[in-house]
Amino acid sequence: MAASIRRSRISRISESFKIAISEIWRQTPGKAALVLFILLVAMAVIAVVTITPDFLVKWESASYWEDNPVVVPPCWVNSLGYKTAKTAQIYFTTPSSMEVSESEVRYIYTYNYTLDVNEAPKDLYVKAEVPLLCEEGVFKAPTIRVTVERPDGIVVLAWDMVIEPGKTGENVTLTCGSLLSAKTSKETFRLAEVTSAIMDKYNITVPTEIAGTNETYVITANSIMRTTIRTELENKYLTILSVFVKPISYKISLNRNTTTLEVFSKQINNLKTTFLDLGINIVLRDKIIEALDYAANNITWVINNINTVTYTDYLIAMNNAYENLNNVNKLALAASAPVDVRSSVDDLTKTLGKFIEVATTTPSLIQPEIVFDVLQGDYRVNVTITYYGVKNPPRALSAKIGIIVKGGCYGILGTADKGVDIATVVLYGTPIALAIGFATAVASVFIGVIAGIVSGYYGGFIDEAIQRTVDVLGNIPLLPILIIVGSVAQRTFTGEAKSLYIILTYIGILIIFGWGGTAITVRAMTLSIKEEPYIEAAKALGASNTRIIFKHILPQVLIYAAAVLVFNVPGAIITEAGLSVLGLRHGWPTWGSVLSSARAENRFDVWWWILPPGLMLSLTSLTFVLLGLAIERIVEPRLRTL
Amino acid sequence: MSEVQVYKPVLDKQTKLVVNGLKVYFPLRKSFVEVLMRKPRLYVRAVDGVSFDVKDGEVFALAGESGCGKTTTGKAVLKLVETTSGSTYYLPSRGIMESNPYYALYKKVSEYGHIDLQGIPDKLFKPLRRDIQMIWQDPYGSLNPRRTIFEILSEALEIHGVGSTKSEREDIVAKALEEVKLTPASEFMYRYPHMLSGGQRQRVGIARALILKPSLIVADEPVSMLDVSIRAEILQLMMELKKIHGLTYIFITHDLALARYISNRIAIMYLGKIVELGDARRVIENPYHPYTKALVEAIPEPNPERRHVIKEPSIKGEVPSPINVPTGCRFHPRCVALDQHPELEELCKKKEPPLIEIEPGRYVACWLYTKK
Repeated sequence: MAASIRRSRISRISESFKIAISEIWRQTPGKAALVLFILLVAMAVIAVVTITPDFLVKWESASYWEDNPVVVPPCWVNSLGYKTAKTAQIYFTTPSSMEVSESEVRYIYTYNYTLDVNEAPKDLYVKAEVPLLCEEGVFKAPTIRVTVERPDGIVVLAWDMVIEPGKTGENVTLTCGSLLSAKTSKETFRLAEVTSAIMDKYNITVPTEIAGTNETYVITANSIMRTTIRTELENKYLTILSVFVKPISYKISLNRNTTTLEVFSKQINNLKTTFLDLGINIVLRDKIIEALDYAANNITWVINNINTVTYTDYLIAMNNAYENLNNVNKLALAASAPVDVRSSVDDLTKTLGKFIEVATTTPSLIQPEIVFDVLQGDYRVNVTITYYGVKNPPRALSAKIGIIVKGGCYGILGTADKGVDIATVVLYGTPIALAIGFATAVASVFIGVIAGIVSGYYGGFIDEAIQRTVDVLGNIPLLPILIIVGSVAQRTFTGEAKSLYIILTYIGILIIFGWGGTAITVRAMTLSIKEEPYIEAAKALGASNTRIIFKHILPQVLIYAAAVLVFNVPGAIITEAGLSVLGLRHGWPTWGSVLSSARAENRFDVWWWILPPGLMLSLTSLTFVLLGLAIERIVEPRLRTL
Repeated sequence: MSEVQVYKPVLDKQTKLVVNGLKVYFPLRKSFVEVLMRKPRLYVRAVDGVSFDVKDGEVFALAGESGCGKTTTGKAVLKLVETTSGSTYYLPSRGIMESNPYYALYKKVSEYGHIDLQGIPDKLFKPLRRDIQMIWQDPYGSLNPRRTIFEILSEALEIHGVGSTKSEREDIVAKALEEVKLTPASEFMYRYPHMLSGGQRQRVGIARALILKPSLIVADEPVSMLDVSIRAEILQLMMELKKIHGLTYIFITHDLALARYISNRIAIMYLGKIVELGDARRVIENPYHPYTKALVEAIPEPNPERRHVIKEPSIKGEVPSPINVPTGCRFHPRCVALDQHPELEELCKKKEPPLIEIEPGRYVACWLYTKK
């Protein structure tokens, strides 16, 4: 029956689409192309569905990625033999435990971090958003205490902070339950306590043969040592990372250089000669000489015993010399010695005093050398939020606590500068790339088809005009034009939609220069189709030019145009990437912009920064080239035998 | 013969179509050097002054070898090629013209309602296309391979607004297919041309020509590309349809045997001109013009016993280029009769012979007969 054979136009189109797909699927490259294409489309769909509206604007700001380690490889490299500390970004909304006593309530958030490689994490901090509790009209702000239980048993109180509502919330009117935010920083890190805890745990003290026995000087020596180590830790590691280290060897030595002491001794002897030559009171002079002798003897004793002297004895001797010189000073005044002599005594006394002061506060005499290493094992980070004087504490505290440990690897594709997650950008770059590619290809093929058909069908002056335009456009080098227009666009456009306008400019240029080839081929096709007998037959029926173009020529040209369109897609994507790499940035997260940032930072050694966007570009091109090949074989049946 | 009767097409009540002094010249593109040297533009003189009339209901054959301009003449009648000069007068069938709002605008050239087709602008010509249709030589090329038979046939309906709904058009198409004996029509309707045989395609071609119910059909070698076995079928179908619809055919062919079989009158063309015109049977059985004689002699002998006799061709040389048409009688370089009548040489080479009546209804353009 006729009705059973009758089919609607839509079902016929969808049927021919199905046939086309199965034709593509029959070929090996077509199969690969379809799989890759579906993958790309899936990525694009996921990206479009998951993208947040502010991502396009904020993706290049460092604050957006502040929790990510900077320029680290992906985490799967660990299975390739790399040794990197893992990254943890843990956010708690409910406390791990809660302790209530009469005067205070503590909410404890606990996170266990395992460090199993010989590399310290790059950073550790806690971000907290805690509510302001109210009781009987009184605001109760909490304190935040962060302790780290190390695998060696040391419990380090890393931070102890009081959250002051006035400081954190700028001019916000505080109400009960309004959130106060706080973040631990390097500056508030209690380095001194951490160092002390480590020193105590590993029993690092200045040995008696160096320090001597005098209690005061032993304490001084130890304090100098700790200060020195602390400074060293501060310089060598990020302050915070001292949480993750342990000393593996140490050596504390005494400065046994005698040059300064010999200068002192010589100057005292000089003073002695000066006083002997002076005509002053003999009694006083003898006393001065005696005191100078004492001082000289003390220093000489240190020089003589420099290899065995302890810190205590060293300083006692120097103190004696200082006292005697002080005495000389007084006696010289009493004997009314000449001003220049007295001032030289005074200078020497002061220099010696300075020497002693330096020796008791800086590592000029006590010189510690400690070698630290990473302490592997299980760490436990406890964040304790404490409210004082809260009688009815809430069970579920509406706080958000983030514990961030920046490790040596991140995610599935690693990070770039500013901690940009490459996987995210590559994913979100997919729909943008496809949009650029398709927009350019569709528009240029559309213009090309129209121009080609008009040119071929109507001929004459229009044909000549279009073909000469194509010739001119085809002979203008595209890249310089793009560079010029791109840099002008970067300066011209401002405001929020700047990126969009720049990309649209690129697309516009690519369209203007991209339709020529299609136009030439379509013109040739039109010329040959125009001469087909069935066109003449249609004319004999009275068909108008429009009808002949739309019903007879266009359907045949369109199949070819589909193949060209598919072939044209990667060109635009790669051009955009190329322009980005050349520095003509637009500001959107495209694959080209990732490559561009690698170039800007001059980090060609970072493979995980360059390969993923590069591979995506190649894969996309491959997809469309394979797809184009498959479609071409359908369009051009002669190729099927190849 | 004292009074020489030069051929003049008759324009009377029975005349369906008159072609008078039709010329179709195709200009050649000048090369750059030729433009610089200011050489005159050259033309391909495809049709160079053709006149004939076609009576209502007859089969008028246009015969001649390839390149003689017979197809171009046919296309000129349908205004598919631009004519250089000359006129075509056409008497539309009654029904068509009544429904044509432009009819009153057309310039009438006779009291019977003949219209000057050349004088009508293209837009106004469109309704007339319903009345003049063409059957094409190539059943393979003349059907768009990407469209179904229904789409091909209903195109004419869409163009002329016949049938408003799809089912209405389907009915018309089905009827047309049944008419050309492509049954069951519902099955053929949604096939593509490549699914049909050559004969079936030509039937589709005929159906396309007939679907608008024309009265004049220009059939351009409709069977020349078909297998011999199905030629008769197609011709029979055409004759049958002619009888049913009262059609008039202009039958373009190079096959004189075929022309004799189907046509009432025949015009023999050579290099864009008619050299002989008259009753088909008489012209072919008793040709006057040396060219006609040569053509008739070239008809294959159906009797197998005489097959082995190799006939001496009564023609020499090759067809000259229609760009440089020989002076005088355009056939003279190939004429065998000229060799036998050397006294005519001067005349034949210098002066073009007119198409004159030598018997009632028989016209020949040859000095051989004009001088008698």
